[in-house]
Amino acid sequence: MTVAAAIDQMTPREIIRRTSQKSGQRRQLLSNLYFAVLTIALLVIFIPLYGVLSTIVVRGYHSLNWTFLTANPIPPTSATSPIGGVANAIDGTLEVTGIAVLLAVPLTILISVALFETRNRLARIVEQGIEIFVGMPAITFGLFIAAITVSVTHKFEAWYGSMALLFIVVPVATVNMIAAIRSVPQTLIEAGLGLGARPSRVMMRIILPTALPRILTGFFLSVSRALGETAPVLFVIGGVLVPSFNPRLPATTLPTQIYAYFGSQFESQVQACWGMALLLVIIVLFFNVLSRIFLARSKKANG
Amino acid sequence: MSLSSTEHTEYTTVSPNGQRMRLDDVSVAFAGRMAVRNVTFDVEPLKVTSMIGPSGSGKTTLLRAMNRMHDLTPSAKVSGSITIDGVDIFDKSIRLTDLRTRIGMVFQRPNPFPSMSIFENAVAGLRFIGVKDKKFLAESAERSLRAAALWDSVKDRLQNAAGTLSGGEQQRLCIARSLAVEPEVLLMDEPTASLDPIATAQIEELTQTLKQILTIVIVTHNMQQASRVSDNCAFLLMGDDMAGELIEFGETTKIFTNPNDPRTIDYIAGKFG
Ligand SMILES: Nc1ncnc2c1ncn2[C@@H]1O[C@H](COP(=O)(O)OP(=O)(O)OP(=O)(O)O)[C@@H](O)[C@H]1O
Ligand SMILES: [Mg+2]
Repeated sequence: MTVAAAIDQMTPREIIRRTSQKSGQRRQLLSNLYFAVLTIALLVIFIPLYGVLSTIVVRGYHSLNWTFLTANPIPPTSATSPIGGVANAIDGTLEVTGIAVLLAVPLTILISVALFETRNRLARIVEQGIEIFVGMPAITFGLFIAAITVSVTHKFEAWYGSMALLFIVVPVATVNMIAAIRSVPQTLIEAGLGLGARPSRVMMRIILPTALPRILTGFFLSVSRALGETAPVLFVIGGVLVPSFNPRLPATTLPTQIYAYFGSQFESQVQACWGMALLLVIIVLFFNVLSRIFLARSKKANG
Repeated sequence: MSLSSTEHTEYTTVSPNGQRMRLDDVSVAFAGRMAVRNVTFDVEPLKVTSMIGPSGSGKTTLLRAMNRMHDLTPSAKVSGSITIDGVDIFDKSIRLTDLRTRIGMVFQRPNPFPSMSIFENAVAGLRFIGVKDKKFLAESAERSLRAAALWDSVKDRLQNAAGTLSGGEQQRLCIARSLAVEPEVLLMDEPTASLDPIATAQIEELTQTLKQILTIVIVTHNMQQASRVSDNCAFLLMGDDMAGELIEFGETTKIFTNPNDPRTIDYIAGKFG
């Protein structure tokens, strides 16, 4: 009896079993290979991820002391002379980022709600523009703001930097916030309207509270990005050695200070860069943890 | 699972305010495509009216026309007339927000507000229309939760998140939420579709209590449910162009035992069999 004839006489079940047995070893092998490749990928990703973090921690942690946080920089004259601290950059970062956040929060809320409630052509064009801004190189914002501020006034001011950062914070926060409020189930909105609530009430009492954790996550994410940006503020805030505590005066931020120090001929200043980098990482991690807490809380509240 | 008599006496002392609604030649189209056509029937006050019919026959569409929920959908066009207490719901003299407090809605899936506690859910409608008086809110919450047969099981955990309740309890919370604004008509779209038999029976019993004070329209796929809870029944079926049409309307007992139209007999027999 030929093979073909034999197959002809088999039931579908026998054909399937036979085929499965024949290909069994190969399938097991491919399956193992699949997971092996994935594990290798994870390992490859693990190295830079934790390499960066551990380098920053290892090289930065002994810079972090009271003087570093509270003293102003002293321009060194020799390899062993003191370089002071980075109080100027901490103040500058708080000023520049703080003002940006204060302005970004109402702006983001307004834009997101407007885009959610109006579904006309204008809204679509605006939304597309915002999405494009999310991916724009930060230095373009720096250039643009410099052109309309420093180039006109011939002065460096901290709040110019905040303006440039707005272009980073608002698009990222808005895209997240729109996604957050669009994820609120339509049936909750209808339930609110069905109870006689007017649309603004539905927004304030139902949509925003329901989406709040995700909205906050978006804000934390965007602020974290803004904290570390150098390019947008570089051209417009100038630089200082003492905290000004005044947004109308020039400022230095942690990223611009790192930028200035890293090219230094003095090892002590290069070393301080790692301290500042660690400081930034700690701040960003802090926001990261906060946003995780909010997300976890929302999962619990929404079942 | 039967309602204790104390559970609803509180609410039934409120004077009945169930109103009549009248649908006259109502059609609804989405983006020019007719979904339901030329429907005419009366929703009698202080009675339960059920809407039955196969999937896609336009029951939800019709129900949502009755509290102008289609206003949300730009592509939807409602024609014909729908009145409550003799006044057209599209009349300029009626404010949409007022209309919606008079005509409450309960949805297929329980949808309590997840960001609010049980108490806050119960009084959400009152808060939306601007009621601030704490005592009034507390009393309303108790009154409507009692009316929804939920008070005893939640009175000690009013501040818990609404999401902690079971599906059946959540649906009764949604009913309580609707009752709190003292509606004249309650629209229910398959309110037990996602519930187990016990929770379903509780909601069914509830409709019998509530019809003493308000008018109920209930959409259901469950023939037993329609025959158990409703006084009148509307049977819808798709026509040749797939638009829903009202095949028969009348007393539920008549529809279920001695209908005029053979299509009604077929549908009900098919669903029971
Ligand atoms: N928003 C909408 N846009 C377009 N078409 C819609 C919309 N809502 C409903 N329809 C259409 O209207 C018709 C009736 O739908 P409807 O939801 O009223 O049926 P139903 O009787 O409630 O069905 P089911 O028993 O499955 O809930 C369907 O053909 C549906 O596709
Ligand atoms: Mg439906």
